[in-house]
Amino acid sequence: MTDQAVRNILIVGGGTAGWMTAAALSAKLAGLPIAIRLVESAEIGTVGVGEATVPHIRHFNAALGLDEADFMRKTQATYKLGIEFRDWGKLGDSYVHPFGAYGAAIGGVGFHHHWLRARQGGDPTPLEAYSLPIQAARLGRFVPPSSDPRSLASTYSYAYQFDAGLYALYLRAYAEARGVVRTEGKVADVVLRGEDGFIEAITMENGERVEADLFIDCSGFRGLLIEQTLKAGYEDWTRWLPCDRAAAVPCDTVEPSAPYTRSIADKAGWRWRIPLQHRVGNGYVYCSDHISDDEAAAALLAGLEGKALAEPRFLRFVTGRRKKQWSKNCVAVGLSSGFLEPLESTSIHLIQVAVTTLLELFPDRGCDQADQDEYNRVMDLEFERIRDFLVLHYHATQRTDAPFWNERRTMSIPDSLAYKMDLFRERGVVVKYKDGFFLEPSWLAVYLGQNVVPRAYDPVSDSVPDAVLTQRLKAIRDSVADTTRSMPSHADWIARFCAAAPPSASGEAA
Amino acid sequence: MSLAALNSVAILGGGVAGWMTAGALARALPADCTIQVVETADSAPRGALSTLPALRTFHGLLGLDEAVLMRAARGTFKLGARYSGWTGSGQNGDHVEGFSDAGANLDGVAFHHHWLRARERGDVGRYEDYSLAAVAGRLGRFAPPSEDPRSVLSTLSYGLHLDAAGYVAALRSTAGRAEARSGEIAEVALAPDGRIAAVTLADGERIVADLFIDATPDGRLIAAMPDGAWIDESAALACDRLALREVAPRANPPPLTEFEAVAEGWLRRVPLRGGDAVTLAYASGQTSDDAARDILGGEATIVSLRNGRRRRVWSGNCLAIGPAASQLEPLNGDDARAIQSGVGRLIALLPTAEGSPLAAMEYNRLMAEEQERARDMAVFRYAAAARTDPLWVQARRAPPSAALAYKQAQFESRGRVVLYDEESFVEGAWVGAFLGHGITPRRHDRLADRLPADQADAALARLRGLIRQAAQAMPLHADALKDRP
Repeated sequence: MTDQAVRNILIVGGGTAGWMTAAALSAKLAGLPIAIRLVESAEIGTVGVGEATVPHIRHFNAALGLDEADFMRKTQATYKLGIEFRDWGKLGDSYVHPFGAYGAAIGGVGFHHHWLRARQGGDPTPLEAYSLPIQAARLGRFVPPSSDPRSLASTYSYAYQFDAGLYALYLRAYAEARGVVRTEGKVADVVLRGEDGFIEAITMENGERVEADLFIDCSGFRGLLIEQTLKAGYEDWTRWLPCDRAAAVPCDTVEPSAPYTRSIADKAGWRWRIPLQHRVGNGYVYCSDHISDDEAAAALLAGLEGKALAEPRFLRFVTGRRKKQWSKNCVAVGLSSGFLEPLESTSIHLIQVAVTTLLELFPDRGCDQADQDEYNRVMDLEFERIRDFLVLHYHATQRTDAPFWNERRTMSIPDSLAYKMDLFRERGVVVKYKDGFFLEPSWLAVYLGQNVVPRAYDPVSDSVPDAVLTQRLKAIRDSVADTTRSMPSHADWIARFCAAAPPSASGEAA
Repeated sequence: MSLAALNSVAILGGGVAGWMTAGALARALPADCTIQVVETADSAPRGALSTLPALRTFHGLLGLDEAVLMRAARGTFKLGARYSGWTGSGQNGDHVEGFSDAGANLDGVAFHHHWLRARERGDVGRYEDYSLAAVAGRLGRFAPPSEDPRSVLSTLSYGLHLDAAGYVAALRSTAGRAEARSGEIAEVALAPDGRIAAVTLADGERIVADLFIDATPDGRLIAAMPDGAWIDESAALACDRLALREVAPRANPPPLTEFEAVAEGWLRRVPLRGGDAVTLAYASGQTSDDAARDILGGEATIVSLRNGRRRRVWSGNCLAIGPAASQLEPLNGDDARAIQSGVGRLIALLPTAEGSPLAAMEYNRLMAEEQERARDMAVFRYAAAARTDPLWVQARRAPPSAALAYKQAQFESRGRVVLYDEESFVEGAWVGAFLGHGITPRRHDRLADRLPADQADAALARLRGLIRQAAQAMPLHADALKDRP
């Protein structure tokens, strides 16, 4: 076993993916005789713009032992309770996809069924009145959840909005302190082993040859190792998710930073707004068939709340998934493994799942086919289930004001998603599964937020008498409102807990 | 209001399936929905049940007090199952799969990897020696789990051994609002739309309901429905008969269900208060009923068994629960599992009066997947046997499902447990079954090597000692039962 053990790992590419991988491997493989090296070139830009995350990142940071306040200060981070979606169902609509459940089950029946029942009975109260994180987000308030499971304040979670470039720098310092060796330079060539087609080494532009037992491809969209060398193949999903470009620009903050990300459906895609401590990250994800780069940039700039801090930067991508994310002795992590637009802030989450799964299936030098198969099975499921959830946002629209939205509304969707939507429309049932990131509250938020309303609610709801239901609904609503009112403002909480220094010129890595 | 809420449910068949359903629906359905149970003679409960810890949650939902239940059903405690005879070479091939995860998560790596690693260096005992439930089970001792997470007793969970007839009596008491009568099914009349219009009984009564539950042993209602066909699983699971007999009790029966592989199939012994319920599973093509009685040493009730499942267990306004829906020879000690999830999923997907075809489709998908994963566990036990008797050899020749083949290959490669969406058995249960039946991974998780070998050895020795001590300090199973009269 020992002679087959992996002795060295080479990560090709830095950025968020490269340094998250380096940090996690250096923490989890500590104590084993494994050398970790990362090559990156300062000449190759990273994609890292203002980046929003999902709550799982807190597990990742905790596993590394990061100090939350320190990490937040150094990355200009704010808290995130959810995402506000504007104009997605219809122009003028607004809903929040929160990090937490709505209400609480009554009589063993999911809360949304009772809400639907009350609504059919004429109660106009919106679902979001029963969500603590949504109410807090709307009012710009934040406090970490309570650890007392009996408290309403324990029923939500949170994530961060931070500068991904600064996060990569932060993790770089962490990884280098734990022995990861960083090499500056560009890769000139990749050398394959004759007998089995494994990667033997890379050659740097300065001629240096770097060998390794295991290669992690964090080279971004192009997939230097996984695609350009190993030809793993790419499954194109643009028929469902046709946006293929993005323009990004930071702007000045003009109001206290909000504890949520905003996504605004626009003529040919959607615009993001991610408030950090020192600035606001903005972008427009669009479909080049429907709008030119210039028009997109103009729309992006017109929507800024403060002064633009740079020229818009353009990105191109093809939505889809690498057919084999692990091939031979190479694992693709980050954009080299596939691309899903950041509509639900899943980019960093997918990096995290990739690294965690790689550690669970850490191979020996032979990279057993069984390890590759299992890794690819897990990652395929993860990608597919996020894909369906993203497609739902586009498809469940009633907008008729632009050709882009007419196409989305009428397109055929994956069978797996059509099944989920039909089931929800019939009886309010949300399909559950073990693997995959988005759980029932997330599906409910988007279905109901975009006007996909079930014809019938769960008949078992009727076991709860009308008077009892009315009183329980009011109690939950009141409790949400009271708890929200007692929370400090997001800005106050940041000032107290993790205020960052004003950015220095060199800190603007994004 | 909800789209025409369900007004009436008729349960035909009775038995454990019928009465678990009646009890759960009596709790869940709105008061104005009627529940009727028609008990057919062939659905009368027989034999004993060996159940998983999860069934106790169901009792909690029904408000069924465990002490009352155990009294009514001659119940005893179950900390796991013992399997012997699998190697075909006498007493050496036995193992216990206990209801507590073995060992402890050391340094963030699952325990079995540490055990596999330590075993490469020397004798560290059996995997089950690190499961408190397994060790206590072997010692014939029982104590309830502790709620203090620092106590080793908090790792325990337990199931129950129940007499089926007594269990039905207890369930009946929770379904007070259900009207029950006995009767035989004479005719199932379908409406032109393929739904059941009425079920006519032998005495002429016509049962009409919004929803019919088929809790008969042979699926008389569901078989009449479109797509009610039976998917046969007998290639890998060849037993088609169960012989049931009760024998004299032991002074202190272990809190375990005991399975013994024999040439004809397998024997199961379930301890009840006042006697042990013994079952022989066999194939009628190879073993006669008389030969089965001889093996059991006397008169026995013979029950037929059809391993397999219905293509659709919910079709139109007819939903099958229990043996009408699926049958699996009771080799996993998960009796009533499929009924429990069948009822639970019915309540979660309860249809409106005019039917909810998509809810039915989802129900069928979930039940089929769950049943296939549980079947995989039973098929694995045959595949892992080293016996050379014709029945065992024949079973091994049947190809496993792709899901099982993949799951076993992953475990053999590196001790990875693949869990699909609808698994009834948790990761620890699969590890216990794989290792117990002699499947040893080729590699352990490399991350286990982070822990210095001497520290790992010390941790294992400490755990093993702690568990042994805790088990020895527990009361004998017989005494624990006396404390719960």
